[in-house]
Amino acid sequence: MNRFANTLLLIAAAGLILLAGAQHEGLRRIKTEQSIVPADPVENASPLVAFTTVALGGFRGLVADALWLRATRLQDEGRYFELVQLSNWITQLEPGFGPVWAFHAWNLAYNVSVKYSEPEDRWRWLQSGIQLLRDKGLVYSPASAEIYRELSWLFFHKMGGLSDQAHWYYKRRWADEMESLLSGPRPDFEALGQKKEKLEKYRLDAVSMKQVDEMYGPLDWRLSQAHAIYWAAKGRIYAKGFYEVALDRMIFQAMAEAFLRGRLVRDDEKGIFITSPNLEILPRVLAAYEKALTEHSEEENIKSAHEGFLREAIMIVYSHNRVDQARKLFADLKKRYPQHVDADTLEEFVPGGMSDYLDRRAPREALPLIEGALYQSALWTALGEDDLAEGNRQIAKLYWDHFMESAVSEEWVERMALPPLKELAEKAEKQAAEFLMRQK
Amino acid sequence: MNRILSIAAVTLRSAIRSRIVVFMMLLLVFILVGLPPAIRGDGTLTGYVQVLLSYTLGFAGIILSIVSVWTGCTAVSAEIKTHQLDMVVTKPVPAIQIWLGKWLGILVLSFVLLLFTFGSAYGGLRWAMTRRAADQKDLQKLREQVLVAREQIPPREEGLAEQADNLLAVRQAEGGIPEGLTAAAARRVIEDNLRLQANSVPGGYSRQWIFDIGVLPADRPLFLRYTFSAPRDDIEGMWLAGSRDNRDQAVRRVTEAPGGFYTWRIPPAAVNRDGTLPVEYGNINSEPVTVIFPPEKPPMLLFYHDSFEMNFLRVFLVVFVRIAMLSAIGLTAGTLFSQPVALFFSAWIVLLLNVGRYIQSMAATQTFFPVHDGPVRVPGLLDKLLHLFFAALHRMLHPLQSPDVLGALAAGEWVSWATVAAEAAVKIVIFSGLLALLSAFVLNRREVGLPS
Repeated sequence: MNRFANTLLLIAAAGLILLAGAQHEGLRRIKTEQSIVPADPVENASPLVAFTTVALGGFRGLVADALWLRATRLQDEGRYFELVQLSNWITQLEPGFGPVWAFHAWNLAYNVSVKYSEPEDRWRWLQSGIQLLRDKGLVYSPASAEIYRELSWLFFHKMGGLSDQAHWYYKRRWADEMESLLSGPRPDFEALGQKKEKLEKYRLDAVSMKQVDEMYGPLDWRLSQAHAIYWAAKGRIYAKGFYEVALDRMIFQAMAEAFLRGRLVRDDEKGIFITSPNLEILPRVLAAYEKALTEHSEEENIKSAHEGFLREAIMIVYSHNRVDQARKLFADLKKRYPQHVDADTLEEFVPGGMSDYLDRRAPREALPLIEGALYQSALWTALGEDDLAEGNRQIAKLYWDHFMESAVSEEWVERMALPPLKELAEKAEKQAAEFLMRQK
Repeated sequence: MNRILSIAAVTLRSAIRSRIVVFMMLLLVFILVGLPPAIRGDGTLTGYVQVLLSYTLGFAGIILSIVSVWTGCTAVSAEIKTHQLDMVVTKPVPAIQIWLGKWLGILVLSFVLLLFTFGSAYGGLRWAMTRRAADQKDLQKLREQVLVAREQIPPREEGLAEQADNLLAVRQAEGGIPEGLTAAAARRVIEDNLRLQANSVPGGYSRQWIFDIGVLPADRPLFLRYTFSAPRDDIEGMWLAGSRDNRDQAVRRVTEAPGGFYTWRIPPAAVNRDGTLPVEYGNINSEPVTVIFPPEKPPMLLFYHDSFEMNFLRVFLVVFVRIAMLSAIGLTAGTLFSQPVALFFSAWIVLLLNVGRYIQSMAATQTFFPVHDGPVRVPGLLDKLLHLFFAALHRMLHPLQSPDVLGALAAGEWVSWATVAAEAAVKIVIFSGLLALLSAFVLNRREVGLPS
């Protein structure tokens, strides 16, 4: 009798298991439709992560909360050493949820890094943020446009921007790493394909790099802007809705930055590490803006970003002695945004762009501006950048003329006049030579 | 004594035979072996060692707590259920000896497992130090700030109490104390304000603290640890350690973000001959902003007290004391209740002991049901009852909560012998002693051998 009852129970258990299994598809579909939790197991997950996410089920949210509370408390107490570990665990408990990755990467790269005064410490935390997104987030959520955008932002703003005290340290360290990987500013993409293992460390792919460079370049891959563009372009494939605009914005912002500071002048012997404009990519930057303007015509902030870029580009191109190109850009600016441009010609626009600024300056403040431009000119001459040197010399002359034009009387000239431009240029040359000597 | 030892031996034997205990021991081994390779520090050897110490010992501590509570619960309740205890209570063995014998058996098991855990963690740490790459700076930081037991002292509070008394007297004479505010409360407010003022450094000003160190080994550096708040990012400041006439006075110019915790290494030569160290902060930020060093977290000075190994030993003892208390709780619960009830009851007590911070914050809460987007609500009857409940619970549990000795060990902070002694006195002598008496009383009264 017992045996019979046991057999019956076993059959019933098996039947119930089959019945439960039959419900699985329906439940999975409801979970997906209602966006309750990611219904499918995470792809590419390590066995431990896959096991944890399946075994804990909905309870993994509670575990993640508990870990999150601990992370917050430790951070408040200044005990940062556990944060990388906790961030890894929390994100891996919610591997398909982009905002969790974004939050923790941001926290490490921005909030924690600035709590250190040494640049190498800050660099370590920035790296932790990047690695969390790139080496983990994109493995578990390879189609998350949000993770791509955050990663791109870290390269664009944290590493490439100027807001962090240690930004030059970041740029140098990244350039060092990329130089040893790529053997120069512009890699041979065909040969790079052979270095798959080394590229894998940075999760770069030679084919995609080549495509990005052809579409948006030529880029200096030692600089962070190239990587910001690379990750934004990779994420653009998966972007929908808000992230389409966000990633397009990321691309043209990073390209504008690459135009302004996307060429690295580096001489380790002289200790020189200067970023300067990359004029070659100007047509591509304009094309990227054009594309964004067409695709997101309702976005007013793209228009104002475009206008701002044109204004800046005119000044940069002019300072590089490319007057014709500056004239074309000015014509475009005037045509698209006539209500914002008072000047009729480029010659009026260039000094006019600064006149408001200069008009508010006393002579003692105007002088450093002129000296600064002349110093830049002398430095670029010494580094063999003749166009840039000439452009800066012209800007200094424009400043000088603009200020001296306001001479109203002999008494004014006697009291307020600037020293002759030639004299200032000689002084600047001497200072630049001294600077270069010091670097040796 | 022989009777206690015999009961201890039997308890130890049955604990080792328990499947649950064996499973937990295997889990312990798995953690000790599997966790270190899975740990990610902050990218430095120092960070790795800190996480290694916190995690291996922390996780192992949880498992050993479960083993202790489980063994404690089953040691009596299961024996009552299976009538094994009938054989003992019918013999001329006092109930207190039965309880102590069982407790001793569990303690021996816990001690051995804890010894194995700490030994493995220490071995893992030494192994990591030889295997993991680290630069000289990192190694120096590890040796000076983690593998050490550093005493931590606050700055001297000069005349703050006296100033508060004087100011209170002046206010009282002027009639400036609001009605309804007691003199003690007014004095507390005055003292808090004075302390805040003393820790605020307006732009262009400086503030000095004096640390009384005493005798310090000549070759050991000191570390100033501080945090501050300010309304701007990246504040420029200047730190000076040592008297102005000391040619070894240490100077450091910093640009730091508010909210961070910073550490400054000060050479021992900066300390005055009388064992004091003046430390001064100058607010030299280009924009005039006031820097505030939170009075509840003033700058602290950390300096060498004794070796890491001695600290490790003391931490071991504190953890053991905690586990001993948990096993006493389990054992008492097993005496009072049946096995499942005892397990739930013990788990509940352990949970309460682990949410001490939450209970503390609830005990400090006056209004439990605040009205958001509305006027401040006066606490009602329910608020008052809840406040009383949590305040009483906090008072009861507070002495039983353990200090964060693992955190201190990982941060290279000294855990004193006084802490070990206090923990042992409260948790073993007083609390476990009371539990032993209670259990003996219940065992004497309880009818065992009833048909189940």
